[in-house]
Amino acid sequence: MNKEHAYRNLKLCTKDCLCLFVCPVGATDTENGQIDFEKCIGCGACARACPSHAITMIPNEMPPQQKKNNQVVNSLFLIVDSKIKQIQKLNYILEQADGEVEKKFLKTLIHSNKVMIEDLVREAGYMLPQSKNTYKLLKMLLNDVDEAHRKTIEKLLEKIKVND
Amino acid sequence: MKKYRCTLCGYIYDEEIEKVKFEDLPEDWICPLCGAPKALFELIEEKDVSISNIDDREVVSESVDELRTLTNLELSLICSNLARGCEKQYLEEEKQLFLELSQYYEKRSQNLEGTLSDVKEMNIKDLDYLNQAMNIASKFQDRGAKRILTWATKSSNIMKIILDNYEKKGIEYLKHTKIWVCDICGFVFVGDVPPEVCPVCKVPNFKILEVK
Ligand code: SF4
Ligand code: SF4
Ligand SMILES: [Zn+2]
Repeated sequence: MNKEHAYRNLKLCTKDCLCLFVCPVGATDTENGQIDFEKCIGCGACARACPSHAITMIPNEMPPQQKKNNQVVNSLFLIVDSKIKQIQKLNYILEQADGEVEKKFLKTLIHSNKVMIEDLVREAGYMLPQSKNTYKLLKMLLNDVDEAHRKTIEKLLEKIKVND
Repeated sequence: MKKYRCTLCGYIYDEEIEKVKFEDLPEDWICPLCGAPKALFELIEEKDVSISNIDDREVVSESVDELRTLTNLELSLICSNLARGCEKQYLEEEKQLFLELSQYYEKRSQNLEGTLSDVKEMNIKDLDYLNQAMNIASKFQDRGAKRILTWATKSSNIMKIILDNYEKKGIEYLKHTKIWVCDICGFVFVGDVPPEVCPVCKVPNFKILEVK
């Protein structure tokens, strides 16, 4: 089994077509411009030949995410919880605010806190979409969700292969 | 003659070269490299580097098995984080699905009554939490957590200064200038042009977004 496959960044591809000559299986020549992932055997020739650095080799399977120590996770969530509350309060203040500058200021604080929370939860066990943690979370979410988003969750469960 | 270091970007202010004492710089002086306020500079202490012994490496055995109860907003941000994870793996469709979920849970989230001074207090408390978490992450040699905590500490510090300034100067502080947020680490920058790379996480500045 090949371990990786080629992926073409269409924003960078300048259509020089070197990758077309070097691919042993013709996976680079497609209608939609993307590599044919089914055909690709992951040899990497196209990525090496591409003059625009438009092709990346992507692993077919991600290595399992690092196991997290409970104490670390708890200490990270302590910060997350505090920042979540700050956003909830900032949203409340934002609703009452009327000046443009004030609103912009509040939005800034909200955005910044959101980014920090995303970073923190990533390190608290939600690094990979393919992790068991993510899988368990999605399963749990099925218990309390409206119809439309139940479908969303089911699609995710179907598409993502758990790797640990 | 002393030297001071910007705790954000590492710029060194050397009194010997500058010919002006650091203390004599005006209060609104900012780091010429990254725009950090004067308060974020630290004195560089001349000291011998002692060799620390890193031997008793603890075995990380505990894993997270139970799911904690998560609020709607937490779910929203876990999902948007997973969307970013999908984006890095070029999983476009999965990314969109996670974003849908993120928006759904954000809408379900409720606001909390409060004031800016509440937020300010909580932000200061965060600095303690961050410090505590950093100690734990160091103890368990969790490199990833340490990196993120370093960023979050710096970005929270900046937020504190910005909250202070806003309290002192009010709207005037921001009236004639732009505001930016680094979409990777949360660094907030007040000024017309953001630094070329984020002083906190070092991402190129196309990831530093203007708040509109
Ligand atoms: S070699 Fe690179 S730039 Fe040329 S067609 Fe292939 S992917 Fe596009
Ligand atoms: S990695 Fe090899 S097989 Fe796959 S598209 Fe590139 S050249 Fe073709
Ligand atoms: Zn940054």
